[in-house]
Amino acid sequence: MFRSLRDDDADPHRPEVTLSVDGEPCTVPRGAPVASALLQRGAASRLSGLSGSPRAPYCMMGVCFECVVEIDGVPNQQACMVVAETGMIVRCQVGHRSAAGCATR
Amino acid sequence: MSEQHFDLAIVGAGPAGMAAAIEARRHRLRTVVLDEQPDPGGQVWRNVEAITTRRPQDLFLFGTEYADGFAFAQRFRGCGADYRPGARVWQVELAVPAPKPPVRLALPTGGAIDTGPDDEAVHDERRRTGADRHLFYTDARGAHHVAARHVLVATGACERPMPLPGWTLPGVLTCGAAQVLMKSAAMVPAVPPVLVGSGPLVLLLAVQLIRAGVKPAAVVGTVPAGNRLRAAARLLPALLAPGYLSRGLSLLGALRRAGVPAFASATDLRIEGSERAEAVAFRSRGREHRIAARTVLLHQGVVPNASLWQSLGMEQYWDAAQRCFRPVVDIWGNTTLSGVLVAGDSAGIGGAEAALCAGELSGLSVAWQQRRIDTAERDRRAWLARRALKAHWSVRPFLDWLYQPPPALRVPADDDTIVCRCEEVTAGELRGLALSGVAGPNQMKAFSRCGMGPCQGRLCGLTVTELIASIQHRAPAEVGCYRVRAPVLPVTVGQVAGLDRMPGG
Repeated sequence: MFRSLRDDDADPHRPEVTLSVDGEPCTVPRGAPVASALLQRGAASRLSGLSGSPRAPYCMMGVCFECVVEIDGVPNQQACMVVAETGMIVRCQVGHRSAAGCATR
Repeated sequence: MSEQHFDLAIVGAGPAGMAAAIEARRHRLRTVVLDEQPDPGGQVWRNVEAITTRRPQDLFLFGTEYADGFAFAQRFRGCGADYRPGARVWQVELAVPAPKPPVRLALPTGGAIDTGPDDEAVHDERRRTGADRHLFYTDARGAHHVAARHVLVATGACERPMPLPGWTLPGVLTCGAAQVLMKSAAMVPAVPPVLVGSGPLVLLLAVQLIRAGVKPAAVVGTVPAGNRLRAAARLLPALLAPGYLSRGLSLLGALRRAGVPAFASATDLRIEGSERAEAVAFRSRGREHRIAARTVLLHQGVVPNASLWQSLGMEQYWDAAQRCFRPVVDIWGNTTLSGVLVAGDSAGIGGAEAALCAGELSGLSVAWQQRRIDTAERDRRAWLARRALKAHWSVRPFLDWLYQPPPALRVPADDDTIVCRCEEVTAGELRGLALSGVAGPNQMKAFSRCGMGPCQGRLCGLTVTELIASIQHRAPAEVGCYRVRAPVLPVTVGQVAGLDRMPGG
């Protein structure tokens, strides 16, 4: 799990964006990738398509594809390569891919 | 000629890409730079503009070499290149199909570089559009296409895979990932992490975390004792390289002063946990250790980010010290494919400062090839960069051998360890196939799905090559690697259908 560098002396004017991750609001600094919001929560951000094993962002530089999530309705986005924006709706992808390419439970 | 035609297209805006763009613009080459990050700097200077201007109080975390990136990024911004951030290149197409690569003996030829096919089709295409290399990329708005007479691949490095039991668990990230989070998101591990592995980045990150007030719970080194001997033999030239060793020693000193528990020559590493990482277990100096850790940061060096240049089918060779494939290039970065250059860490790990020199040399070479400067001017301008490049490279044999990951961390000994994270293929399964005589990585892929997932083999390719090599007692060069094909990144049919019209078409 990751936290803000400055929890104690939080700057009230620090530019931030708030996005929704699985329905919960999540705040990250402006310019931060969506994956940083996933890591604030600390849990698995997806279950692998084959065995259902828990996975979370791993490389943060677009290589490993462990951080894929659904962003604003578009599935399989690399969360580490997308800059977070206020109002984004992020949904974790759990389990097998459906025929439509979207996540199913 | 439309604005989509360029003299030079550069992929990557890290040190090599930026330096090449600045040099190319000095000779008035029309230059486009495609980079997947939102801002210039690559991974080493990632987010340096925003940190310098918006959170300067954090600059001290990253050190002076990082802060220097700001001025360079500003020079790049002002150089007149058409800089397109957020652009992810998924294909480079040469107008004339590349000649079929010969059976890859893949030994470094070191010899003269073939300047490529010089047939009529090339000239026709060039007459028509002034350019004959096509680059396809996606950004937030969709898929696009540019054409250029020369292409420079400057895609940098990525971290070497470190397959060990439990490395897929949430809470396990790379050291590079932790550094990206500090730079791009001002975030640090919420609980003291355990750093595991080898290489300069482990030390650097540990010290940066200490500066940020997050003292690591432990640093678990994986360098085998024998490495020091092999490295010592290469120490003398390393002393000539500017600053590297003193920087390393000062990091080691800072780590010691902070009192971070350090373990050396760790073996039998595994990360324990079911839903997430809970502990790191290992053996060091004959004793078993188990350290509770909810964040484990792995790193065992970096390797060229090779997908794009490998997809072009240029000649490559196996570097026995760096344990990776490198493209065959001359000192300017010219490859065995006409009009395609590779510079910086994507051509072999030399570090950021070497990449700056290499990028400059590539920019000069393209200017020369396009008759903007004559040979005398090229060589005069190249003199300093060539000398500096040589100095920066003189430290590499020492670092390469000192930090070379042990065989057990390149090819997992434990059969249940996952090698291919995407398709969840284990070392045991691959070993069985290797013993049954698979011909190479491509057949291994067909039989096991290893490397067939969304990362396209980026996180298992080197492991598979070395696994087959070790079991079949063959040289990695002879085993070869996955055949990388475009698109090297996922792209939707809709994006392809929505491509801009071809220039000139």
